[in-house]
Amino acid sequence: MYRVSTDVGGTFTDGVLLDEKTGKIAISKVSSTPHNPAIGTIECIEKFDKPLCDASFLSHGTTVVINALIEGKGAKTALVTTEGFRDVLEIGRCNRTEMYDALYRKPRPLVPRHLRLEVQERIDADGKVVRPLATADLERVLGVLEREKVESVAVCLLNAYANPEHEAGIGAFLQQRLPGVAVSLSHLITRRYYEFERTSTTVQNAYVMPVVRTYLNDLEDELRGRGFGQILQIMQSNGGVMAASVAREMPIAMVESGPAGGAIGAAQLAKLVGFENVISYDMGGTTAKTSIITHGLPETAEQYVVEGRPILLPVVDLREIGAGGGSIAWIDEAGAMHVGPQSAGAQPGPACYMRGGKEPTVTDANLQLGILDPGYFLGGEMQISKSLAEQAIRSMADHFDLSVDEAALGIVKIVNTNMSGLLQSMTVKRGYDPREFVMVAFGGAGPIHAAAIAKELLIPTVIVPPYSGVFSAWGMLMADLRHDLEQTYIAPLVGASPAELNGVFRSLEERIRGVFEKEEIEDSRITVSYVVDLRYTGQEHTLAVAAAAPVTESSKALLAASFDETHLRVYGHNAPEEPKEVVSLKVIGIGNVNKPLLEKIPAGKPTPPAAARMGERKVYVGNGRYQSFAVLRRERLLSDNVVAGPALIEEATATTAVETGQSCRVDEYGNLIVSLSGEA
Amino acid sequence: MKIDPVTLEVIRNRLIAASRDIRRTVERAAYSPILYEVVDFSCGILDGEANLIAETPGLPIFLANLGYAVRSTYETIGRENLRPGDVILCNDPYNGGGTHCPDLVTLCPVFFDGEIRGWAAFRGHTVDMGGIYPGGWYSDTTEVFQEGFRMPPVKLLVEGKNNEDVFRLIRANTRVPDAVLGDIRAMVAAVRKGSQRFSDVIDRFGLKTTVGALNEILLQGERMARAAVRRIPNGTYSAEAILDGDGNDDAPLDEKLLLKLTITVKDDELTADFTGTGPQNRGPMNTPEPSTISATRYAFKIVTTPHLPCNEGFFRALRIVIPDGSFLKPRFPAACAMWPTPSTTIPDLFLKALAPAIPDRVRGGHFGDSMANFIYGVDPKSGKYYVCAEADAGGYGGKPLEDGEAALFSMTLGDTYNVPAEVVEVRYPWRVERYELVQDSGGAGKSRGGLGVRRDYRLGSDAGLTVTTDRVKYTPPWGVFGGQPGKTNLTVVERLDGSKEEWRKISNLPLKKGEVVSFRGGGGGGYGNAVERDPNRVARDVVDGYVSMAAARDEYDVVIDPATLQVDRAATTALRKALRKETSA
Repeated sequence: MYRVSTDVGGTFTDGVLLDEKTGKIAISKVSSTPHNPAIGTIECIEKFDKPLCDASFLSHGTTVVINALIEGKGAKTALVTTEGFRDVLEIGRCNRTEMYDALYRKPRPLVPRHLRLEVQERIDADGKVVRPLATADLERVLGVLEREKVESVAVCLLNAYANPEHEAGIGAFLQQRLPGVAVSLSHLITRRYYEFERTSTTVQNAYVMPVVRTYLNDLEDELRGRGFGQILQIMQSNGGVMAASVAREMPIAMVESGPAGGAIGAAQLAKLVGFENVISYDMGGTTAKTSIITHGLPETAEQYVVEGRPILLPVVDLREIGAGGGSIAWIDEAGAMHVGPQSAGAQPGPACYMRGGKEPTVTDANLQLGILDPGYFLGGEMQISKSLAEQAIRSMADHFDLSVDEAALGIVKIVNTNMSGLLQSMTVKRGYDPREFVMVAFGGAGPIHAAAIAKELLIPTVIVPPYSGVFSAWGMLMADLRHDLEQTYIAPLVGASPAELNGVFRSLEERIRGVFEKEEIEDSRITVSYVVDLRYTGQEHTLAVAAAAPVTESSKALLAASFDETHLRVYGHNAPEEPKEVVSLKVIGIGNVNKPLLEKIPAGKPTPPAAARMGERKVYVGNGRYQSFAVLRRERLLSDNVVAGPALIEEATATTAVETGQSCRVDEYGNLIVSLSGEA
Repeated sequence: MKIDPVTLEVIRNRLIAASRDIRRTVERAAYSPILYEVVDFSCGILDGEANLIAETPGLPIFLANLGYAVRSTYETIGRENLRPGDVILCNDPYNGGGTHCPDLVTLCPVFFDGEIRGWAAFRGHTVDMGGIYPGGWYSDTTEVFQEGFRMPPVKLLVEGKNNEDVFRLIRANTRVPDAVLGDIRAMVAAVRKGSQRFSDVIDRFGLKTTVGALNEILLQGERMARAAVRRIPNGTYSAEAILDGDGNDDAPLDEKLLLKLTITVKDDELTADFTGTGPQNRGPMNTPEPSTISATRYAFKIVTTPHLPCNEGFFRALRIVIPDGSFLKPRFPAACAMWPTPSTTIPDLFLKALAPAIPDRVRGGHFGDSMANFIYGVDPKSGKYYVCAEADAGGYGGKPLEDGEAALFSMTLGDTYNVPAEVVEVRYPWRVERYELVQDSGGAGKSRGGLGVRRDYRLGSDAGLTVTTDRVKYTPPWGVFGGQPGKTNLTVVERLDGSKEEWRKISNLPLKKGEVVSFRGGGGGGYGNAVERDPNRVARDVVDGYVSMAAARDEYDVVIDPATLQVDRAATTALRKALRKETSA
């Protein structure tokens, strides 16, 4: 038996297969097939040449949702909402993100105004029906939906988070009268207040639902045709997987499925090596993405924005900046030097790619400095030109009257600063001490820059996993099932009745257990945790605090204390004497899947074998100085080998830089573990 | 000292990050919606000489007055009397504040080697600092003494310790002390954090390098701005608008206020001259000089370098002339609670004046007012006093290549968020009955103006209402290049007997439980002649209800078939022909 995962990206579809008996890993990479990503997925799996009836677990990450949203290729969608509120979707929050731009453009609603249909009904903030649902309106709505040949309907009523009965009624009516049309009800996606964000989420769910259904049907048919008999697991933005049958109803939960795989991979890998607090750092050609893992779980954000449109669902809190190998260094009108966010991309790519790129990029700078070997790019499969890199950097060097090497070092320093600024915003500014974290670095450019950035932030350890080029797919292989549910429930903490709080928790938990049942997860594998969002009465924003269920009068005091402590950590001040308010209750259900054993690599001595040593290379280190770096071939290293910096450890898809004073140990799974203090 | 470009870029990014830290701290920990949703604030990092080095966008109209607060602090307290760990607070419009009383400024100095090398600064609106009625925006005050508790720069923290006397004074002078002090706590934490980040930069790079970098950052800003001004053809351009004036509609103080702007572009310098603008008025429609400068800088930024981060250096290419004693430079103790109102029109006038020079970078006028409104009373559920301060949205003008945007906050406001209806209903004792776009409110044009917004509240208990809406009567949101004006702003109160009252400005109007107040932000002006608009686009607007069938006919000369909602080609051609004949005759 084996486990397999596939991750569909923009350019490539990656696959990882793990033999459950031996722990052996196989990888495959094929070109993505954007017109029907299922084809690439199947090709990727077929490359393993293993019968699908032997697959015990198959997880899948896909860009199908994000692409439909970005390219505007979703279904013809209508919105049913409360009378007086059809423009909520277009009014949005009335803000201008580019406030100096006279020609500012708002994000456009996915549903045109004539398909935003109002019904008479009203529920108040306490959930009381103040105006019953007018059934006559439903017939009128039905007429429009039929006449306009609408494919998908979103229903989001005002205050439905407090009482969903009208939404449920409309849902039942539509299901009965328009059985072929997809229906998304806001309360089934989230029961959080903020009507624009909830409407936007529901509309986006509806917009992609028909696309996703077709896609998953195709994919499942293909898999079943090849003998696959298990449940297809789909990667979600929250870092867990869900059954395909659940994904059909909640496709919007798949929006960040690929990147979430990377974060989960980092979390699982670090756990394996013995770390709970992790910074995952994925640097590719155009961007660098990072997320924070504490206590083995990726931090999630409660909201996400795609093309300016909010999605009110938990998502692995992944921050991204335009800093990658292809990021272009440039000089602005006033003579200041910048790197990124513009990227040379794959075409023309960095100047050294010899595809006509003229502008200097980060990759060119690394080549110029001597970090990259022109003879071993992609393992020697791709020719690159150092003289073109030099030429591209020279114009910048001349402008500032610097040597070419110094300008190259400047490019790298700037991109590192941009990255460390981002990491700082995710750690120090949230009250985390980077010294208590390890960094897991992957992606084509990650391992080159990781140690320098870690040094800046005082992160003591960097881990570079094997298979770092297919690391997101590797992570999906390790993902548990996960479901998040939330209910806005506003009450003073002191006065809140434990019975009521527990009632809300119970009903959320029951729903989650119902989903797990559908996914055929046994009770013994389910872990449920409870979270309360609190604030000081009068504040708007909240902080999440873990709760033990059932809540009792005395445990409420613990919640309060834990909130005060979190407030101090995150914002640097608190007010324990101030009354607190409950805003939202959340339940997180994890369905644990068996974690496979991984294959170990052969053991060696601290001194790397001679076969791994590839000589030395001069690297420019600043102030006119060059230093000799030992060069090693990664796949020839053995467990327990120790490499002292300065050294460059090369593999086909990445180079790990170990600076002077740092040292790198190879662990039993083949991970490179760089110690910044040099202690092996 | 010459700074290498890499170090410069690193320092610049760190200072921008420091100002972002200030924002984030306040936004997440504040108590008042006006801070965390309306984002009625600004934050910045300044050098020791009060030059803005880095800012984080909040309220653009606050661009210049952080420096004013620092200069006032030097003058009032004395630079030599400041110590590490001090935090300064001020709100006096004529000493440190520069806006109106509810706007509080907190400042935290950055010391190195015993000298002040920089500042972290925050300015934000609190819900109430006293004054004749809640909210702080009044339309009928006649001197600043009526507008709230004023503080010149004072030490809120002395060497890191709370100055409890000042806290007690504030507590005694606001109607909602818990919210205001909660906000102040967040503001203090924020500037201390910003100041620490600035100190870290000096520790890391050394004083000489840091100071050199700050100077270079300013120089680069100046170069950018001068290059951008050169791209505007030399010439003199002017525009004017008439503001409605102040006072209750029932008892106007000054009816018409002329705001006049003349722009002269000469090579790499732009002069904005407000000569001809009316004298300071008896009421509160006066904008203190620092705020006029701020609004003008904001406007300058829009027409020159909209996409670049901002610092004081940019404004070395800008000259500003403001006549003394005009309502853009009033003399103490003129009332000034409504300072934002005149300043909202300033950036829009820039676009209007420069339309002939840079036609592809301007748009029609926007609805032109923040629509600030205040509802206050006692919440029957909690028995507590509340003040709800909100702005409302409206339409922006048609653009060279597309229609104007609907439902945005005024130019005075920036990345500002509305308070969602579901949040309103949790927080306040009333029900939101409608929140929708207003048909036909956008001015007709080849590019149509964006639509305004209507928001109706039905009160669940008795309350007071103050509304400061302007630009209702004399100068509607103008069109450009032949575009038609948009619909103007309005507030409608529906009484229990069903009668409707139309208002511009209201001071402390009593409302009864069950009555409805309807805020209606106007639309944007059109861009280009409406008859040049593609009839199919007009038909689409009719299908979507943005434009009525009647307006399609009257404003666009397009006849829509009521059965199919498509363009009636024959009738449209005939109508357009007939109209042309009429005009030429």
